[in-house]
Amino acid sequence: MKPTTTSGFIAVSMENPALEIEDFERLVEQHRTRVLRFVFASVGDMDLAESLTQDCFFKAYKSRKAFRGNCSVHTWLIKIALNLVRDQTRNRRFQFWRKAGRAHSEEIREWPDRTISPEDKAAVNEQVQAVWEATATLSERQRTVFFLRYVEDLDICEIAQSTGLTESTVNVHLVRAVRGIRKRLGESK
Amino acid sequence: MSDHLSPDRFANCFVEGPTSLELQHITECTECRAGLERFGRTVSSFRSSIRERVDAQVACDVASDASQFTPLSSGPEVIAVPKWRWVLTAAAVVIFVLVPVLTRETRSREVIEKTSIRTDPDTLMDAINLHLSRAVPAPMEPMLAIIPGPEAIESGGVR
Repeated sequence: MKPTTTSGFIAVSMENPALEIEDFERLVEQHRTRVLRFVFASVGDMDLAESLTQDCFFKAYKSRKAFRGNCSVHTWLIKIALNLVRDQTRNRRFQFWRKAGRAHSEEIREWPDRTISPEDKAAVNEQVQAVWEATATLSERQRTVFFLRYVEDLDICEIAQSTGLTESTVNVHLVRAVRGIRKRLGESK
Repeated sequence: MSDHLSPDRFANCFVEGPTSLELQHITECTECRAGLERFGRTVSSFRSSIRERVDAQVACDVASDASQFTPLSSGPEVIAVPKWRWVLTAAAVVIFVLVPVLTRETRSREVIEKTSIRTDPDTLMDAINLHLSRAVPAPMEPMLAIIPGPEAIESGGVR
């Protein structure tokens, strides 16, 4: 019998991720935030991120028959999103970074964390801004694996599946990304 | 302590976790431990800022979707049709319905008139007499004009 509850649905999709595609509306509901988060981290512009996320689900819908369940649905969606981000970056390479720098500083000013004092908040915002700027100096692969690992919490295996890299290559890129960011932050001497 | 974690070892330590030797060093070296903690907090703040921003955006999208929902109105919407459209519709009805009907009536009247002429007894008798008094069938009459008559033969034949 086909489960109708969310927990039952998740149980079925864990056994065979291909089944999860059947209910596409629910799939969008479940994965939209995570895909949007990754795309936003990658492009640094919320409007563009929303547009690319929409494209991602449209592409996923069109190619849903081709999904065999070799990886999790989230990994599959991230793979599609990553290709869209790459295309976008390639098309707008020069405008992109100029706009990205501006967008990040705007986002940070609006960060609504009320649990810390204004001074600490200013310090945190400064650090966050510094990480944004540092990630902008990384290579595309280093940046992608860094976001997938430390923003999306994917494990090395999932990152490897999403990016098409081997696990050892993912590790190498991650180490280089951390080293690069730390150097940019002025912490490594 | 001079042998702090090198940038590579620090990054390895952060990404893959410390080896037993690195762990021992971190436990003993407050500077390296503080460095790792500080970097971890920075990355964590970075992640939180992105998550907060995206969650706020998603909540905003959900709210705007809800506000775009308009309940059904109490009755069907009345669409005002201009008067000139009614005039056009009436004209179309006249053209497509009344004109064919009137035309058909006129034709049938003409047919009746023709039939009544043919059925007039005097006309009909004249037509029968004309047909019976023919020397040759009607289709052959044009040929008779070519063939010379008996008077022409008696006077010397065809010249």
